[in-house]
Amino acid sequence: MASLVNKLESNEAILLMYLADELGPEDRAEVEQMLAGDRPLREQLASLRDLQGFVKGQLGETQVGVGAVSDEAAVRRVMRAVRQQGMEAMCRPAAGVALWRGWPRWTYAVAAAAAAVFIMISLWGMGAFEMGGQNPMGGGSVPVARDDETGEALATAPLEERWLLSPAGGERLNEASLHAAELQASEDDEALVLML
Amino acid sequence: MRLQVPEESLPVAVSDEALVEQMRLGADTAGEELVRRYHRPLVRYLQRLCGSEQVAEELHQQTWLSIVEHLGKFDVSASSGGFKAWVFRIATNKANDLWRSRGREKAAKDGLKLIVDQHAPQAGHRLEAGEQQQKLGRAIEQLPENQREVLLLRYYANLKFVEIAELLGCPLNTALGRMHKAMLKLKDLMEEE
Repeated sequence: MASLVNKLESNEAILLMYLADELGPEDRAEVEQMLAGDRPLREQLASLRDLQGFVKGQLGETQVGVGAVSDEAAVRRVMRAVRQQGMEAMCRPAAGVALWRGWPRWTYAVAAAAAAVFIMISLWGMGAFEMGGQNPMGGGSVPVARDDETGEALATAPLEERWLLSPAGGERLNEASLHAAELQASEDDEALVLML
Repeated sequence: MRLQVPEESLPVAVSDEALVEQMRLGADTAGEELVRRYHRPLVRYLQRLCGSEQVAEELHQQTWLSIVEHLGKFDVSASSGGFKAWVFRIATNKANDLWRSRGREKAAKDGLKLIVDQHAPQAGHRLEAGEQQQKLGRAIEQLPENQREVLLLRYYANLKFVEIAELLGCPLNTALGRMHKAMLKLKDLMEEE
């Protein structure tokens, strides 16, 4: 064993190691040889031994109470905590794995196409694609004259004209629409307004 | 799947390192044996280090959680003190973390009242042993942190000076010097009125 005494920098260090019995046989013999020929060193050793005894006595007499938790209770607590930590680790997502990645790209295209189809259907339903585009408000033409018995439309007029002709609706619509149909046929716009 | 090693199959005096190897294989009983083996010295050490039995038990639990988490990194050959030194190093780090987070080092240096008094039982008449206990606790608290660690590791962990030096990451001469100063200061504080 390599000499340790030569590496210790003070008498206190050497004596502490000597008292702790942590020196190898050769180092121990060397220290005892030093002690035999050095009275102050022997007195220093005695003082250090007393000091050590005092401290040991203090720390030993006033034993820290570990009675609150028994060994078995401590074992149970620790094992429970270890199992709990293991379960929490299992529930956590793996490192680098995001919980939310967002929608797949193809879904955006599908959604855009569906929205376009919906808009197209809505516009078609409102008559936006009819020839001439005369009725942007939608509805095309409405019957302005009906057969009283069959209810069949006898004549129709664009929605705008229907409002001009008969805001009240109902029978007046039929009367006015009859008239309006005739007038429309004759293209007499001024007479239409007078009727109102 | 956990390997259940029957308790009766464990030899009477199994070394710490052998139990660690069994723990790595998943033997719960080996872990329980280690906890049982180190409970009292570890808690005594932590209690002296942090001044509270309640906190010591909490730190004890945290120490073992850390041990289990890092069990794969423990290398017997890398540490002269073996598993014991490793356990107490982790425990010391846990206590130091708590110490720093609470700012008690500053409080101790300023001579403020210590947490140990906060945990003292509400009693009108204290036994002499209790007073002595508290006096010792206050004296230990007043030691510088590095001296306190060496002193407690020596008396409660029963570690060798070489192991203590390695655990604390300081030269052997430094550890011995701190031990000497700690003993002198403790004696002075205990002999004060």
